[in-house]
Amino acid sequence: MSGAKDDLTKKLHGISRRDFLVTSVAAGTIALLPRWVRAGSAEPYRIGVCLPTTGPGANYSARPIKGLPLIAAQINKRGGLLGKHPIELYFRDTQTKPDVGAREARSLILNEKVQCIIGTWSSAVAMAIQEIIHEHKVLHLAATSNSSKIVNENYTPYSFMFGPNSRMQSGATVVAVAEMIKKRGWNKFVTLGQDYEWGRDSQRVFVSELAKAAPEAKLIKALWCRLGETDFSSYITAIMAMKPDFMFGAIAGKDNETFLQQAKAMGLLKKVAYPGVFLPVTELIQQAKTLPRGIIGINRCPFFANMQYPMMQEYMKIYQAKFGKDDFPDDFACMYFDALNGLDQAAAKAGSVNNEAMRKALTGATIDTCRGKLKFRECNNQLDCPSYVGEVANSKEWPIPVFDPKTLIVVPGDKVWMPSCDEVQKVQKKRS
Amino acid sequence: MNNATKRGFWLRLYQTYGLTGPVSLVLGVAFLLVPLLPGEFPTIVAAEILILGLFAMSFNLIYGYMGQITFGHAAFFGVGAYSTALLMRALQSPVGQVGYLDFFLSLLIAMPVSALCALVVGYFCVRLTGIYFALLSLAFGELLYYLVFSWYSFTKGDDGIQGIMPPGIFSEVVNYYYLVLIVVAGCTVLLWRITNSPFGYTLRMIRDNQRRAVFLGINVRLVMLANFVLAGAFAGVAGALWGPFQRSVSPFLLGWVQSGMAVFMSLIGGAGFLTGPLVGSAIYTFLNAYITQFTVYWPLTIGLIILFLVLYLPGGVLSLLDKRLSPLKHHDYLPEDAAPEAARSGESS
Repeated sequence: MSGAKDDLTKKLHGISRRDFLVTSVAAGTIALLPRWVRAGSAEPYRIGVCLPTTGPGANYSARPIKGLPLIAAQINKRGGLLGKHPIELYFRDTQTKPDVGAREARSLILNEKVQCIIGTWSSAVAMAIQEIIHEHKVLHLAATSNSSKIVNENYTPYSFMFGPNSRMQSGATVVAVAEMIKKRGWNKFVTLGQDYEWGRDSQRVFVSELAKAAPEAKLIKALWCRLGETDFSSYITAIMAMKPDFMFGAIAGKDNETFLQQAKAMGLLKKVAYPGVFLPVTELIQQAKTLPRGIIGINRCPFFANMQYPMMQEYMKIYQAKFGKDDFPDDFACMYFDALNGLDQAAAKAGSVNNEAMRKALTGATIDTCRGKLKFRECNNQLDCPSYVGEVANSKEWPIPVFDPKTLIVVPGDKVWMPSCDEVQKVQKKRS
Repeated sequence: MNNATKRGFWLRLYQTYGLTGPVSLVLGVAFLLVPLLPGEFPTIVAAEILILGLFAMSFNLIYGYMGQITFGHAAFFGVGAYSTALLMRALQSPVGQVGYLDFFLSLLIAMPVSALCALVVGYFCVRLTGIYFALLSLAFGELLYYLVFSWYSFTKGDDGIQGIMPPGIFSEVVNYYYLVLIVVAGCTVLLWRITNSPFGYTLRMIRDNQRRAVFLGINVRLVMLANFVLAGAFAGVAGALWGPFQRSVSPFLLGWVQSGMAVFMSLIGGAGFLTGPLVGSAIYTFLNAYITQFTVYWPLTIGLIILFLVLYLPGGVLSLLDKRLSPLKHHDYLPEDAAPEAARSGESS
């Protein structure tokens, strides 16, 4: 009878009187223990996550924000870093503004006492944060923003890049296009770039590098569109009239999406190949129905090209167990997975969660990732990670369009990064 | 002993200087004591409040005193920030250090550069009023934004400029904070002098009745241009302080979102008061710094605050205080010798 009463009490109040008393006494005793007694067993490892939940970067941040707690929980199941430092995550919205990013980084370091900051979208925000983390000697794991300046011109030994940087990505496009030129017999192309420094610089690098890799391909026209262009019809008809074999686009963000939609509607993509469009898994999911098949895209960490690796299988399993079979971790979510696991491995290597020890352990380390075993370059902390180029096609295996395995070209990082460390160090900022 | 003496120091201060007196004193003492709070973060937030407060006060010269709204004011803030950042970069040693003299020179350069920029923009803007003034100022602001955004070889484009470290003792948060406090306090005194000078009253007249000002022989365009240049110069000072404080500058500082921030701050604090934007900055920046620790819905929060203010407190937070105190201002217990002074000060109204 008494047992039945206890059960009823438990059901009604969620906890029995006896359990409550035992828990309270235990909690009180732990709280009264001196800090040094508890420190060895439960000092958490605090990580600040700086990602935009508003503004243009919010789209690419949604899945990392969903995925990070799962990865932390997975590591915490083993007790956390070194089996005794559970990971605590502190999310902050950078609003895609460098000064807000810098303020949030300061707040995380000073208020939440984080030992590491992960993020962010937008290279300008990442570089603003780099100044703060360098000053406070806190680790910075860059897994979305990929300007090569983060590891070169604005280098700090505390920043580590987990994706191919912009320079490596452009290089990968050249390697893949050169291969396609040889296979498909292409010999003339046009370029369309946004008329500002980034657009002009990307076009210049592509054209000059391609001239070395595949001199048989000739540039017949360079077109320039203004930043924020909403009507590409005149450019599209001009390109179609010139009948090139392929075109190279240096069009970023929303403008690229607008261009793609208009190019598809006007039939350009059926007549002219367009290699090198940045198509992360996020876009493959969101534009599953409308994305033109056959278009040649580039991305940084697609799950479908890495399912042979146990870590990718494991991540896919926990991700889909939580969010369902129709959702997939995008490139960014996968790179954040690698970032947290890289941190875990660095702690194990260093035997400590001390910032300086972790930094030294990560520098030049080879880590196990969802893209296989990858090594950090010692002179700039750039992970030797590949870029993936391929044709978008429907798949029997996946409910979303993916890069066709028959056309997929995986360009290793070390094939397209700055050739020598001397070159890297020449451009690196000297910090006091 | 009359009633005024009984009510003491604060009432006298209010009667003599309007709400600017007691608010400045309270804020001044509070800002002096901020570094005593535990941790560095409150000092960082307070520095941000002061710098953005100065920026909002400079905006309020155009909005609150001249009666024109501008959505391009951040351009001068950004120009100030970039002037300082570029000069500091040019004067830095190979390891990124800058001397004290070079640092102060870099800060000083911002004011004339921003003023010059405001002179060019203002020359065109003051020919218009109302919505046309607002649109033209926005257009110029965006033009300057795109210039900075696109000019990679000079401004580093959309990446911005990083590594703007103040020298020696000013790299410590507390020391830099006191430098900011001194500069902002000095600028506030200057702004008070300006707004309470005949020039300031001319501005109010232009705001209230431009046609009458013309009939009285006032060169309205010239006065408006002079005020526009002054506002740009003060925004430049705020911008100059911002770069070394954040260690970096980016083109976002010149964008319309940054301009909107000054509008919000003025509305929250009260555009009818010299220190209104500073109070607005304190509320806005404090909430932005601390609310984001609990929720990522910051735009929703600030949206609700603005909605509430527009509906229930259109004169801003300080107007509520002023409404309660104003019956005391001209009451019979006002000392006779203070009466003319009080009538002369009377804020912007």
